[in-house]
Formats: sequence, structure tokens, C-alpha cells
Amino acid sequence: MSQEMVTITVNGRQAQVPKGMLLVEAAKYAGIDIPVFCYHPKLDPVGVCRMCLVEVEGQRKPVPACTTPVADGMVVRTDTPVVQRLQRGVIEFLLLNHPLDCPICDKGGECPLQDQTFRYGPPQGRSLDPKVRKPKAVDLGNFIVFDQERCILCRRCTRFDHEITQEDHLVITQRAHENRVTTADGAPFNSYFSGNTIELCPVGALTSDIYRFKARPWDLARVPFVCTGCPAGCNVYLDFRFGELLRVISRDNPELDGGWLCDRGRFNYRYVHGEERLRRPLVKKDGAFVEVSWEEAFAEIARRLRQVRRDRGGAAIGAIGGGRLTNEEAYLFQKLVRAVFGSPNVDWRVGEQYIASSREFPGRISDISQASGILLVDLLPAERIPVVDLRIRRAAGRGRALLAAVGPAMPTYRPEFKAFPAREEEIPRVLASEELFELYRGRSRVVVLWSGRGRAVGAALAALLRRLKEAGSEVSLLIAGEQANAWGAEAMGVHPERLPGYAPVLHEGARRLVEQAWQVALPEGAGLDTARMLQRAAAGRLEALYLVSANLMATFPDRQLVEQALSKVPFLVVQDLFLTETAKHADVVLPAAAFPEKSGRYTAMDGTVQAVEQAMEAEGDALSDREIFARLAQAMGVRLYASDQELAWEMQHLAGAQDGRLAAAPAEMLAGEGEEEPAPAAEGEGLVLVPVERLYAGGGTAYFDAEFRRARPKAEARFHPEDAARLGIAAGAAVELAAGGVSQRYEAAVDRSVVAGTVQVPKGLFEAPANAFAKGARVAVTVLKPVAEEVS
Amino acid sequence: MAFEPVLTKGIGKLDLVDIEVYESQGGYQALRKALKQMTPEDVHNEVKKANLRGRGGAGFPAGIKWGFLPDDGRPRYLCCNADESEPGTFNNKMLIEYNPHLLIEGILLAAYATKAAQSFIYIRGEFKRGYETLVKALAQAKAKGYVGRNILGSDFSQEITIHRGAGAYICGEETGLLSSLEGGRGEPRIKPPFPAVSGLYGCPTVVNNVETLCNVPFIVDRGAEWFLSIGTEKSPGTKIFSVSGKVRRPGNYELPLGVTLRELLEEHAGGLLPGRTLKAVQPGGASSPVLLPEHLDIPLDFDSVQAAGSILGTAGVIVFDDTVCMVRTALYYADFFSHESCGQCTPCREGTAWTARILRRIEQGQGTEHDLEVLRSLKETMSGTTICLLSDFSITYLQSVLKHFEDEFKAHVHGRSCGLHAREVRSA
Repeated sequence: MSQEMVTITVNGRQAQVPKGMLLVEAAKYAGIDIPVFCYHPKLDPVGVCRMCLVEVEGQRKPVPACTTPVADGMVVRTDTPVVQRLQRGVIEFLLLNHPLDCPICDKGGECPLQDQTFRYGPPQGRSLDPKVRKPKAVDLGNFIVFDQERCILCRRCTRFDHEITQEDHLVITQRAHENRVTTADGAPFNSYFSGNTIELCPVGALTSDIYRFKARPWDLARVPFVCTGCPAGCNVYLDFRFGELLRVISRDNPELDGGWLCDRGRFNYRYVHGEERLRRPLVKKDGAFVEVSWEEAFAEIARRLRQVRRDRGGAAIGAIGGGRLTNEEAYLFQKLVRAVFGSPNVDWRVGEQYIASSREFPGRISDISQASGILLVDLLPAERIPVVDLRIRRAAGRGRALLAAVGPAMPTYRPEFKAFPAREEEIPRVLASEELFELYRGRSRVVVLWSGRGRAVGAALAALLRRLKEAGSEVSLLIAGEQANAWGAEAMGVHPERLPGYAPVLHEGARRLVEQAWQVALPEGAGLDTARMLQRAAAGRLEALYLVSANLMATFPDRQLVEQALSKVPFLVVQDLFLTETAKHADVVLPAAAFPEKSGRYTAMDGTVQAVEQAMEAEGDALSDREIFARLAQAMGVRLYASDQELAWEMQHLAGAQDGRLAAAPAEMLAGEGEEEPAPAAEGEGLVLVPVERLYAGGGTAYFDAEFRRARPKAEARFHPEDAARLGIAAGAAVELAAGGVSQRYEAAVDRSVVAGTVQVPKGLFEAPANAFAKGARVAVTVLKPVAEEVS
Repeated sequence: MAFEPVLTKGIGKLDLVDIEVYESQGGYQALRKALKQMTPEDVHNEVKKANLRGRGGAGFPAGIKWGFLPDDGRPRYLCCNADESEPGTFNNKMLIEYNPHLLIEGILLAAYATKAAQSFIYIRGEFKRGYETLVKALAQAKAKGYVGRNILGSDFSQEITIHRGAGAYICGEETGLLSSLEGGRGEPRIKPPFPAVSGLYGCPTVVNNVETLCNVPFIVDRGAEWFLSIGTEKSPGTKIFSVSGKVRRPGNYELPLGVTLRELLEEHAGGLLPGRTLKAVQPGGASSPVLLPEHLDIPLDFDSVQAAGSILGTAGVIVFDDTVCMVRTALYYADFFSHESCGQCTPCREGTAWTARILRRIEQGQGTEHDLEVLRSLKETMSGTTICLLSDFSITYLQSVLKHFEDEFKAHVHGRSCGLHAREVRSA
């Protein structure tokens, strides 16, 4: 459908512009810039700042360009004395009580109010009255500090919070000159997206608590980068001063992030320079870690692994991790394990997700915006892929897309959605139901987002999506991985049954191809997956385990098994940023580089491959994972790759990317062929325990970041109001959950979105590790301390 | 012969709040007539023919306004604007408190004519008594079958919902009223689209003033010809003038449009207090520019007042005599508007507060010539630059007194005060 064009004239210049376009945008076609404060292309126009008033022929009064659609033949002037006087007038009004503390303002130098005063403002102010003083540092939430004096009430922040996140934390209160931005009912502004308001703010009113007063913008060195926090693949800029990472801001990629960032991506970066970063290799001697040189560490690992290989064979070595690495590193990791350690046991999976992509139902993140049906399966998008959730909210909020959710925990949305609460083992049955099929049948474009958990779910999903496809729908399956580059790791062959490019590890032709490329014989047979490696290790049948950015104590669903495995395995190497719970068990700890300290490619959850270039020197002696793998191989007498070019060729040859996207997993992997199904949940009394993801949980970067730690979730057990009433639990009470000899303390919360009969606890909190309980456990609840009666 | 009032007839003598009394005076006969003998189009045409001009201030013909409603299947709504908040204006208040059934009947007829699905009365929050009166009257009307399903056995059904405002002047602006009625902040919306096209909940909506609607039963009952015989050619009908300020008998006076200012003040409002001379008159509420003694003989109708440089507005006639300090009146209104601006548009939010600050300084003898210069210049940046007209209105009176009473401002600037102490002028 081609867009109808109309002709307009702006300041004597003619331009063809799409019919109905807002004048403020259309004027750009004529090369004319109309100044704005409240207008923002990503928000609905409101026309309140009055900075964009222009004269339109035939109109009695000046009109706001941000709310006026163009019509054919429209003649516009933005340069008349009247318009200039109005522009000067608006600036004069805005500056009447603006503190003009530009010399110490974070926004100074990148401030639309400064720039437009310079360009359109009056030469001097005329006010004889002293400035009205207002609060200068109001904490709106975890990360946002509000300077009310600087605020010009453009309402971009409240509109973002209303239209884009649909959360309505921010409101305008009072009238007239007493208007101010605040939070509804004084509740903290702890949206996962609060930081976007800082960038939207056209003045220095909304500031980052972490970046506040840290630098002048013109002193910052800016490096384009990609956020590695989750598989959404949001684009960012990293701002440095003297090599120190001071700020993360958005870099609009309409196909992925749409210009937004979540607060974890935006504010969880100070750990990079944190005290708790590992800076030297550590070797455990007599039960205590001792700092050693890289040479010593590599020599120790090489000695031990060679010994295992010689005595017990390479298959006695296990290797887990890769989902947080770059594509290159993931490739080198499995090559190191297979070609140098001589072990088939390598697996990227560290939690419950078993698959990261689906070749049969390809799709892009941007498809969500065009979807007529969206189905969420066992996924809380806000907790795992927050920026993608904004697309879901917008698509559902405009009433265009039908939204439904299936799973043990339900998301929270302002638009209505169909909820299909189902325990994990019940999900396949719901997916196979006619009700669900009928709901989506005939919808032109259906996008399914799934956690990638549960092989039976994968099989049921495949069946449903095939039916929908046959019924005429265009169907996309997007798998939101637990780790940022799960897709990359899977495609690069960090998988016990798949070689690079998903080639089956037992396929003769595939093996030959790899062996020719590597000039080495592959280890015999298929490898063990993560669960089996841990079981073997716990049973004393694995001699060495090598973990790469895999904090299994926090992520693997069976914590006891991990603990047994890590304690039992004779030799454990952990490569990570911090001395995590998992790393504490290690014999050798290798300090890895953080995300800005290395180059490579990441694969987003829709297969988009994005390259980044190292933006800063690594802290201490930390090395990139790529370099660690190469030097360890060298220490073991093998050259892992000769040059970057050779590596690139090899990767392209074995697991090529096309059109900037990596291939996805073949259909048979979705059904989890040849893999074990986890044991069904225990039946019995009590509430079903549902561990849920929380965006700010986890035992790594969120915890080891002194300035982000404050936002970590509490150990909170959430109950449905009915269950809470039945069990006599009030919000805030201390409760104990117990099952199978494990018991843990939580603070109770009551939440209508919790499915009745279940209790939700956060995953990834070592204070109260949810994975200490068996999967699907039914827990007994004891109230330890009821809430004190409120004194009225 | 004294003019016989129409809308206010019986007020002060009869308890028109009682539906039986109202009916005994011919009440609800117009509704009966319309439902039995007239189509909605007939009622609409009669009102159009009568050239009933809106009494809320703008004087826009109601019949034409009703004609703007698109016929596109969306439900239509009728909103009665009872948020009377204009300083010096209290005629809606009287109608609501003393003749509520007239308003209800007017709403029903307007709803019938416009085929409204539902009617609303948005009543000023401070009108507690008026609200209670309306609730009582509405219950009576429902009990009698005038409101509800199949009214008087016809196909016409109508519910009326009464909604109390929360005390904001700006909710008298029709789109501000709609925002507030929907549960949002009382903030005017950008026009177009006008409420007729996209009003309450995005549906076609008519917003009419109380007094406007109260005229409809008489037009239906007695016909447009009768209505056109009252008042002037271009401003037919009566108008309730609210007279306040320095007169002996302040109050509401219902007179034909076109009555002279002199007759209103001297014959009806009892003239000035003894020994005083007239300084200025605001004919139409807080924002209307002053008329001067030389204007006493102009007819009070929409067009004549405009020709004299002011507006008839709400016909809230405010009288200033020689004891009044005009600087203080300007400050009073400036305080009022800087309190009542909704705050969304920059020029209004900042400009009204700035105006008040400057005027306060001038009034206290701390002003300068520069301040007068600034005040004069504000008409360029505060008029015609905002979503609604509050910004414009906030300075029209000021501009008129700056022009006509410049000497008083100069006296404040140069001599600390004008020597007048108008104790009656309170701070808003």
C-alpha cells in the first residue's frame, strides 16, 4: 500500500510529504527544523509546551506543529516575526523560574532547553522577581533523582510511563504554576523502564542516581555497543571518561529495542569496575585461594586435564557454559573441549531452558509489533526480556493483537489478556486444547514467545504452530533464553549432541567435515548434557569440570545436585567475573573480561548477529574468554586458531551466518529428541512452589554491583489473596516454606496475579535459593511472625 | 408594564423544586408536547429557528451546535455544563437551586432533539445545595416517569447522571469538563476535534450551559416566533444578569437581551451607593474588559457589547465605583487565574503566575515602569497561544485597565499607592 503524498510549502520551500503526517515531522522534508519540548516522535503528541507554534496560511491563530496534520497545499511559515516572538516568549516563560544551574547540571551540553534558548530565546530575561525555589533532589525511585526546579512540565516522562510502559507510576499533581511531576500515591517509581525518562527529559530534571554529577557530557568518549544482559540484543552507547564506564544510554535500533532500555541494562554497569571483580587467577592451595600468574594457572589446568585424559580418557572431563559468551568464544569453547580436552561433554545449558531457536517457525522481534495474535508460553517477558515486553504491551494495548499467556505464573498487563494458568506439566495439555487453537486460528500473524523450557512443551508447541500454519496463519516462535547468547552457543555447537551448525554429533559426514577443518579426530560418541555431567560428577564418575560463566548454584534447577557435583569432582575450573557461589568450589578460578572489555558477536533471540568492538581495557589481569581458551590450548600444546581471519572462515564454514542472522535449530531439536524428560512433579498437599524470574535477581552482575544491589528483589513469597486468607497470611508476615526436608524463610506478599494454589518465590537469590526445593514441590507454609497490627 | 420574567418566573414565590408545583405552572408540558407531537428534528429546528445563543459565554447558537453531531452510529452524549465558576456570575446557581425541573426538562428536550444516548450534569463541586436539590428533583422526575425508560409511554428513553466537580474553574471549559467527567485531570483538549465530533469517551457530544438548556422548554412550548419577539434581532430571548459590586441591590435580574446597562444598573440594581460615582463595569465576568461610564447606554446583547470593546460573556455584571483601586482588582483576578490555570500550556502556567507576581509588587508600591511594559507585552505571548482560552482571558481585563486606568498604575509605581482602599477586594 503506497502512501498518499501531499505538497506543502514551508518558508517558501516545497516538499512532498505523506498525507496526514504531523507538521513538525513534515517540515523536516522541507529541511526546516521546528523547535519542540513536549513533542517526541515516540510519544503521542499533546501540544502543551507551545514551542512549535507556527503560522499556517488561512488560520487565524498560530497552530502547534506537533498536533497539526498536514493537508495538501498547506502553506506554513516558521520564520515570521510573530512566530519568533512566540518562541522567545515560551523560552522566557520556561526560564522564569528555571534555576539555570547549567554549570553543574548533568544535562548541560546535551540539553534541548540550552540549545533552543541559544537558538530561539530572547537575548535577556525581563523578570525582576526572584526565582521560585523548589526541591532539588527528590528520590523518585531506585535510580531516578528529580530536580523539580529544572522541570519544564513537558510531560514526556508521564506520557512514556502511561503510553509506552502502561504502568502509570508518574503523574502530574496540582494546578497551574504548582504543577509538578510526582508518583501516584507517593509510591516509588520503580518501573523496570524508569531510566528511559532520563533520556526523554529535555532538561536536567530527571537524573540517574548513579551518573549524577559524574561528568560533563562533552568530556565523555562514546562507544556504540550491544547490551549483553539478555537476548533482546538492545543497542547502547557506552560513555567513558578516562577509561571509566560512567553511563549507558540507548542507541535506537527500530528492529530490536525501538530506542528503549530496561533499567538492568542501563544501570547495572558499575560492577565492571567493582571491587569484587576477579582481577588475578586463583588457585586453591590447602583450602584457600592464592593469587597466581596466568602461566601458573594455565600450567596447573593443563597438568590436571592431561592427567585425566591419560588416566581416564577425555570423556571424564565435562564442560558447561557458553550462553553468555560471544559467538566466537562459544565456538572456541566447544573446540577447546572437543579438540584439546578430547571430551564430547560440552553443554551451554545451565538452567531449565533446553533450546534457544527454532528453524521451523522463524520470526523477528519486530514481528510482535505487527502481530494479530501473541501467545506467551511459560514466560514472564518483563522479567527476562523487558524491552521486548514493551512491544507486547503496545501491540496488545492498541487492541490490535490478541494476547494470551499459558504457564505457572501470569504476567501483569494493563490491556486485557487471556490467562491460562497451568503447572509446568500441564502446559502441553493446554497447548493441545481446541480452545487455544480456536483463539488464534485465522489470525494472520501469530507470534509465540516461549522460555524454551520443557521438552514436552516444545513438542506440543510445534504441533500447535503447525496446525495454525496449516490454517493459514504466519507463525513465529521466539525463544527468550535465560542467557544472552544462548542461540549463539547452540549454533556454535556448545551442545553434547550437535556440532557447529547443528550437525548431529554422530553423523559421519558432519564429523568428517569438522575433523578436516580442525585437523584432529573428534572424541567418540555423543556427549553428556549438563544434568548428566552433574549426576556423573556427584556419583564420582567425572574427573574434571570446566565451567565458563556458569553459576550453576544459582541457575540449575537442582541445587543439591550441583553442590554434590562441585564438591565431589576432583578438579574444578571456573572462569567468571566474580567469586560466585559456584566459583568458591573451584580449584582454579580464571578472571574473565566483562562485556565492554572484549570484542565479538552476539546473537539476539531472533537470530540477529551484532558485532561489538572492545571499548575499554580489562580490569586487572582479566582476559577475554577467547584469549583464555587460546592460551589454555597453547599450554596444552595446541594452537586453537591461527588468526582472526582463519577463525572467521572456520566459523562461517561450519556454522555460517546468513544476512546477518545465524541459522536456527532444526525441527527435531524442538521436540528434544533423545533427551530425558525431567521427573514429574510430586503430588500431595500444599501449595505448588513456582520459582519465578525477577529481572534484578541473580548471583552475578546484579549482586556484585555495589550501586545496583539496592534494587535486588527481597526474598518474598507471593500468595494469591484466597490462599493468603485461608492460611492466615498477611502481606509483610514472615513465613517459612518447607518441602522434602528443605525449609526457607520469606516475607509474604499478596498478589492477585499469582495463580491460586501456587506460591511464587524468586529464582536466583542465594539468601533463599528457590532451586534448593525440588522442581514442582508442594510446600507447607508456616507463619513465623504475623505482621504487627498497625497503630491507627 | 414591567417585563414578565420567563426562566425565573415564580422563583421566590413558589417552591418550584417540588415537582407538583412545577407541573402546576405548566412544567413538563413542553416535554409532553414534544414527545406526542414533534419529532426530534422538529424540536431541533424550533431551537435553530429561535436562534437560541449559548448562555455560557460564547453566544454560539445552540441549534447550530446540535447540528454538528455526525450520524455515524456512535452513541451521542449530552452534557449540561453546571460548573458555573466565573467570578461575579451566579445565575446558573439560582436556576439549579430554585428551578431544577426546568433544567431537567430542558435536558430531556435537548437529549430528545440530539438523540443522545445518555445525559450528564457536571455540577460545580462547591454547589452542594444545588447538587442536593438536583438529586431530589431528579428522583421526583424519575418517579413520575419523566426520566428513565420509555418516557411518557414514548420510544424515548433517557438517563441523567449528575457528576460533581472537584472545584476547578477550568472544568467549565467544555473539553476540560469532559476530561474531568471521564475521570482524568480537568485539562482542556486540543480542538479540533470538537466535542460534537469527538467528545465524551471519544463520542459525539453536546455541551450546553444550564441557562441555555432552561430556555428550551419555553421555545418548544411557545414556539420560536414567541422567543424571537423578546430581546434583539440577533440576540433573542431573555438573559439573567448577575449584578454584583458597588450597587444597592446586587442580584440576578432576568431581562430581555438588549436592555441598556443604564436600565439594568439604575432601575433594577438600585443604582450606586449614595455619594459614589461610577468608575467602570465588567459586563461579562472576570475576563471581560471594562466598560466605562460613557458606555451606560449601550444595549446589553452579544454584538453591542462586543462592539463597545468588551464581551457579554456570562453576563456577570461587576460594578466598580470611585472607591475601588483598579490595580487591586487586576491583582485579584490575576491571583484567581494563576490559581485556576490547569497548567498544561507553558504561556498560561507561567504567564498567569508571573502576571500575579508583578501585579502584587506594583500593588505594594514595589513596581517599576519596566513592569508595566512587561505586563503590556504579555498579550502578545499569552493570547491565542494556548489550547484553551483561559490564558487569553487571564489578561484581557488587565489590558483594558492598563489602558483606561494607566494613571492608577503609575500612581502605584511612582507614589507607592493610589490612595484608595477597597477593603471589599479580597485576595482570591
